[in-house]
Amino acid sequence: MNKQTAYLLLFICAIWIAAFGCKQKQVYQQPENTFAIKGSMHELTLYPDAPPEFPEHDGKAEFVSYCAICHSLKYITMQPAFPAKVWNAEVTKMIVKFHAPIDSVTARKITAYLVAVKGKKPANP
Amino acid sequence: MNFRKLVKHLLMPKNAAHFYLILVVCTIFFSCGNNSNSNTPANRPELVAYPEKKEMILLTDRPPQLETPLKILRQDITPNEYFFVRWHNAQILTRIDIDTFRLHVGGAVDNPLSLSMDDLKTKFTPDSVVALAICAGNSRSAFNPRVPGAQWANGAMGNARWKGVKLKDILAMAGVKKGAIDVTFQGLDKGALPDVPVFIKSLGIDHALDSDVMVAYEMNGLPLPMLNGYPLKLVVPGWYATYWVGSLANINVLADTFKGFWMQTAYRVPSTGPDEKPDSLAKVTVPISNINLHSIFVEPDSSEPVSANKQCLVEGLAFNDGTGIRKVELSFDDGKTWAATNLHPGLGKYSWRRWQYDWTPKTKGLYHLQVRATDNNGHMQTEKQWNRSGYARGFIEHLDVNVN
Repeated sequence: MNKQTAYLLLFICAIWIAAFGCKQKQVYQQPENTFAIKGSMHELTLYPDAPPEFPEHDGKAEFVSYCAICHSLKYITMQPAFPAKVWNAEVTKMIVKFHAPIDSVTARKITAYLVAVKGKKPANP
Repeated sequence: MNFRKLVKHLLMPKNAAHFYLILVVCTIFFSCGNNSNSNTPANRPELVAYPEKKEMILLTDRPPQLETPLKILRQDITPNEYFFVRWHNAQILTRIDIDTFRLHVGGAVDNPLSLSMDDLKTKFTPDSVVALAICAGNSRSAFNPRVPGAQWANGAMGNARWKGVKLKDILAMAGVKKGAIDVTFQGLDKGALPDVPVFIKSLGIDHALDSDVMVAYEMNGLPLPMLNGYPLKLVVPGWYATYWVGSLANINVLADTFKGFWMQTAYRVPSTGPDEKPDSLAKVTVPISNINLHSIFVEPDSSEPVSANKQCLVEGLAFNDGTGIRKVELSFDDGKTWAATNLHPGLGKYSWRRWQYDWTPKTKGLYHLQVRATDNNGHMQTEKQWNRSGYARGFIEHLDVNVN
């Protein structure tokens, strides 16, 4: 192989490595959960799971940040689809009963997002 | 460099080989790098083994809610490493020096107490009971229409032998003052933010002085797993597990009715029973309490083949608040006819009871099984039941079996 070919091949490889290398940075490394007893000390370490993937839609940023303050977003992913009325009641409950620090504008955005990604038309509207 | 010439040059077999070889090597190298981490959301397994636990169904990680795989309920005692986990507040107890831990008993008492684990194990007569722990929301995912909440199947329940001190003995040592009305129970867990209602439950003083309520320090002969409330758990036999406060550290006697969130607002059912209609919700509610009569299937499951003219064991569990089960019946024709099952004695008043039936289906086809229990007061399970929170499931369970 001559010099020109060699340089071209190296260049192509460099692009390829860059492409795959960038992808690798996005992978979540789950730390290991542990439990140990040392003398009289009992210690548990639990790390949060990789956050579930969510579809892009208006309100996603508010949803993933505010809703994850107090609990994992799996609380939402494990739910079936619900009518808007139910999602609205759940978001209201978080704010009124559990004192989630969410203003009314953000609350509306979050509710709209939930309806968009996990909404269901009620059987009898 | 002439582009056309270059491409032609590359596509020549002897040059192309080098090019493709390097490309393939790079791809393999970096693809392996990506795939070896199998913890991305898409390929996370549904079964997880948390510390002190074996493989369980993960509902949520923060705070943890883990469900017992149904096959484990074929054992009469649920092993600690498979016992279901449910916490409400995000900051569960994760670190404790057991030598300095104290159970505080105070409020309307003559002698406030500060009891160490050693005190609990040596200054009181140990008590022991086999009792079913069942989440108020167990089987929530079966309600129709569906309701929000932890979407349990039937695995938020377990039968265990609890050992500890009778609550009434602890209260006797503290000396309950006249006029006491409620007793509250609080653990060492707390919410993510200061305003989140801390998990506190209460019992009426008469109930607290009942001989069956226990402060447990052992579960199936071992210290409790941290995820199940080590070092102490309140055991309220016959009542839903919402009362079974984990990492218990504070007992407070009140001269008033407790008005905390987790009694006044959460965990309530219609005053007439855990049944209402979606379009006419009950106006009056009360705190949930006694375990509702229910029966479930544990065998066969959909992965186990059933053949015609071959004996198949149909098995399950029946339970209520300890007042007892009279009979459990099975139907193979979607409720048209019923047959009595063989009902095992159970491991005491508050244990579940196992039922079994040896079934030999005569022909191939799809069979619609149902199971229904009748309690000692003659009350029989009904076909339909619903409430807005998905609590206290008691409506008849169905199982479709394909006989080959």
